[in-house]
Amino acid sequence: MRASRGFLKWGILLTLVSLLWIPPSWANMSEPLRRIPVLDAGRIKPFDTFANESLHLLYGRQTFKGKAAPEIVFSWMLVPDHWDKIEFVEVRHSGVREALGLEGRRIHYAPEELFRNERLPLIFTELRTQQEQNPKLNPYFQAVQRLENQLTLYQVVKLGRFLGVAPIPGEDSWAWVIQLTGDLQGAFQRISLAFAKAAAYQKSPDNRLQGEEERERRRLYAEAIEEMNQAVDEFVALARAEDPGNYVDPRKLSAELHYNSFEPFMWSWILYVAGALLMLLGWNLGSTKLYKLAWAAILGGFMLHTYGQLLRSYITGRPPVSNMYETVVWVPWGIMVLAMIWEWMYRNKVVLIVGAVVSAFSLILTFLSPTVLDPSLQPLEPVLVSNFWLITHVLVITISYAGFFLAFGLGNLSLWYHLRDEKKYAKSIQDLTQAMYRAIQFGVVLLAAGTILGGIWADYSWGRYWGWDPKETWALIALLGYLALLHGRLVGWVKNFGMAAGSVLAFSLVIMAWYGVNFVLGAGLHSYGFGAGGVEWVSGFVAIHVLYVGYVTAVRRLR
Amino acid sequence: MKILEDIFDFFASIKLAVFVILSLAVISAVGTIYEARYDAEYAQKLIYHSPYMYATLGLLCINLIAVMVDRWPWKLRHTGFILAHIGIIITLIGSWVTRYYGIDGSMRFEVGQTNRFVSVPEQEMVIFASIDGQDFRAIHHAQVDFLLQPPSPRREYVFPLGPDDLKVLEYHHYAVRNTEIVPSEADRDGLAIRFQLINDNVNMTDWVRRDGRLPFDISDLGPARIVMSDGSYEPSEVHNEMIVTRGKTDDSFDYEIYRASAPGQVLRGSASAGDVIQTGWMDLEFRVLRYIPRARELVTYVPQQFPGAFTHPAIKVNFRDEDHWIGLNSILRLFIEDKAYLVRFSNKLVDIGFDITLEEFRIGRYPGTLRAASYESDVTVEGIPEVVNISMNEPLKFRGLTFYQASFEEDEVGSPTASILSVNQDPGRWLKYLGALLIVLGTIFLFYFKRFGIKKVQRPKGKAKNSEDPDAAQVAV
Repeated sequence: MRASRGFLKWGILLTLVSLLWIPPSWANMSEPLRRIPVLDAGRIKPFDTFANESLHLLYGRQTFKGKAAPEIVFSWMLVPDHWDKIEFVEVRHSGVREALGLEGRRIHYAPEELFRNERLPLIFTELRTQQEQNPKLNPYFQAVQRLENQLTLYQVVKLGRFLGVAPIPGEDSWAWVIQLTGDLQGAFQRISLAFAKAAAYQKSPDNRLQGEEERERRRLYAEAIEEMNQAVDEFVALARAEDPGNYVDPRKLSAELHYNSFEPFMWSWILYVAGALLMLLGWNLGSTKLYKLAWAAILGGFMLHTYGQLLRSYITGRPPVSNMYETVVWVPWGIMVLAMIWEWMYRNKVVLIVGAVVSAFSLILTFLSPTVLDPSLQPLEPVLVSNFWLITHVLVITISYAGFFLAFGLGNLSLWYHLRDEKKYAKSIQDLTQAMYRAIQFGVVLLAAGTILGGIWADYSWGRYWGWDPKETWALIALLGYLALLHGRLVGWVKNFGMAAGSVLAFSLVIMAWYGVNFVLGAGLHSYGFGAGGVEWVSGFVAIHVLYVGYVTAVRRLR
Repeated sequence: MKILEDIFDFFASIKLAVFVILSLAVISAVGTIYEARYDAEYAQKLIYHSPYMYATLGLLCINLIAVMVDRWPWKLRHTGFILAHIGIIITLIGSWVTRYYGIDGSMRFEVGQTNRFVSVPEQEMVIFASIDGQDFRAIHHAQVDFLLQPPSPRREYVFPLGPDDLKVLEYHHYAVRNTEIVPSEADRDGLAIRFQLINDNVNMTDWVRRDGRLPFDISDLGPARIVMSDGSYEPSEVHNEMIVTRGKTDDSFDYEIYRASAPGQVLRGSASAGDVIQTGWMDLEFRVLRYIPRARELVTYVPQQFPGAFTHPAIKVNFRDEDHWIGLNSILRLFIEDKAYLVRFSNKLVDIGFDITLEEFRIGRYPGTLRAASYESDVTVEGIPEVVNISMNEPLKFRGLTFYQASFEEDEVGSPTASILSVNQDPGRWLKYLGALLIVLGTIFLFYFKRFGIKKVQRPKGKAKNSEDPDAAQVAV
């Protein structure tokens, strides 16, 4: 127990340190703009979020030449002629570039260049026709659709005809920048003027100044930023006065700004990886200190992981399991709970290491593929709004995936031991099998319960207990796969090697239920979670594991 | 009786269990692929409710019962195993009860409309006959399942209509409707014109036609209206109007043009294909592209391999050597000498025994978007004094039926035109819930309370430790 108190102390300390360490935010032109509340896609959010999402859509990143998104997106409105000529619209799909007859190896194009392209209207018309025939688009048309979204967004933002910035009493929608009148218009103009002033005195390669002149520039720049701050405060106060009941909750707004800048999930995967490495090292060196440190890192990562999800839930007002991204963050949380409990009970370091690695992998995925796993905070479809059974069934099913994912990780390691030397690692293999067996049992109980709860929810909302919807059918198929494995184990067909191979292979069924139904089959009632892309990577991942199992099986046979 | 014992052992074996589990998984996986390629109905009929699915489920039940009988007399440690297995059997019985005694359909209402029929997935063909063209009586009523049993030379669908037969020739699950206006021989069919209406601002091309069942047909084109008449229509004198009647010969028609701006004045004349008529309505020119003195609408369906936004099930029938197409939920009219027939091919309609009227329908949207956040229907129900609200997750339960807000239809500008309720009666519900509860309890017992069970039966402790894997030995039931 004493040791555990040590971890706790370390964990809390580490979390506090990382919480306090907010990324450097010296005065810059984006800061004042970030906190302007805007209405976009059915949700009130800070301008920061809107700007990040917009720049990401257009340019593919959240910064442009070192400048933060709010500054960039705001300047589209102020100096559209300048931006029309800048090559910053990302056209990644080579097929689309070919269709437009765009030369060279460039990925980024100027809006003007694209708007003037004669073939642009043609490919958009083609897209319409395609959409009418089949709403499920192939990658080429998805890319065309993205280009259309990019250009439309840029066009309306630069004209000030899109972004709602102030509530209109008695109406659902907010006034666009161009629709502002009276004091609101005046306040918004002051923001723009101060912004222009700041832009003029901002440090740039063009105005390299020395000594007194440089000090003067800095003073004027700081002054302009201060003016921006004041104008933003004034604007926000006026906008709030328009319709206080429909304006933003300031606490939620600052929570979202904090969430945007802090990136808790990034810190948590870094800590998981660090923890896993430390534990491996401590294990090899037989060092208790390193072991404790590793636990502390993992616990710290886990706390940040929890904190990030609590933040998301607070901002959106719902549990964080309503789209693909959120489940890919939520499942590793479940893995960590399982792995930590297992280590605590059986002092089996391998399980915690594997758990941390698998969790970090899952979190890293969300950073690698933001277009497939869209991290933006979205409002819910009607059928998903505030429903107890819905939340329960999704939480339970995704936690069952955590059990299967952990078993998959353990299975991979066990296969590796089998490959190396079955006799030498007999004890390790035995322990791994035991943990896998438990993780699968845990998963089977929860998947069965979750699928049934899903049935209760469907009965409650649609009057249909079981409707052969692909998502529920694949959950059932995954369940049947693991049941076959457990029954096989019961009669001794499946031994240690079989468990390892089975855990790895059966996880393909979970991947199909979790990802494949939405992205490969793309049909059914659960279509709210749909997105596009990544199929080739996921298929590759599954194929590699099938090959791995096949290889180990073959090596064992030949031995 | 060695052979009987062997058979019993086979049915109670875990080998069979694993085979059945894997078969169910494979069949279900194939079903989801069919669903993605075709649609839910197709996958359900051809896969999920196929004979081999039922056979596999039957085998599962036999296996579950046999293995429980095999373990008789049951001991305390069997609790989880028995609960889970009985739970599966009860759930399957519950599903069967739902399938054969339940109702699962939908009702569509436009605002203000009253309905008492639930449309269920089964299909039917009904043929009505009339002598006077007013009073129709059903003379054939057949339940059909063309998807599973399509018409073929070996399976014919023939409905006698007097001395002639109506025969169903083809069924297409996915077909796109196509209409065409064609000349006809029958004198009761009205005239039709394909025209172009043109000035500096307007340029439209369309058909106008008089349906044979009506004395005249008014087409409102906005600035003016065109009335295709058999001569009985009296000018309204308030609209810009063109009244068209058949001419003396078959290649020309007579027209009268009235202008709202000049009451009392009439432009009369006759024209044929290729002519241009100056209407005097805002300088509009009426160009006659084609004229047909007796025209009918020919509906055909083009079969498709896969479903799409416009596909629809349709049948092709033959009557008196002529082919006709009927889309699902539509009616074909046949006129012969002194009789009229209506052939309806539709989803089966079940009378629920009381009227429901949609009073109001509302859509709530996310602020500043067209995304629906919620939708709800206010209905009055025969037998309930007050207005009832039905919304997502808040169904109405009445006389054993449950009404859920399922979806809605809207027009191009996004205002709702109709509400769709799904209607459901599920007598198997409690069996399924009970089964589900037993399965979950059973599995938990099986996995997490086995130590308790093992202590009770005094299994020697050392044995488990020596075996290759303690869990495998302990779980053996």
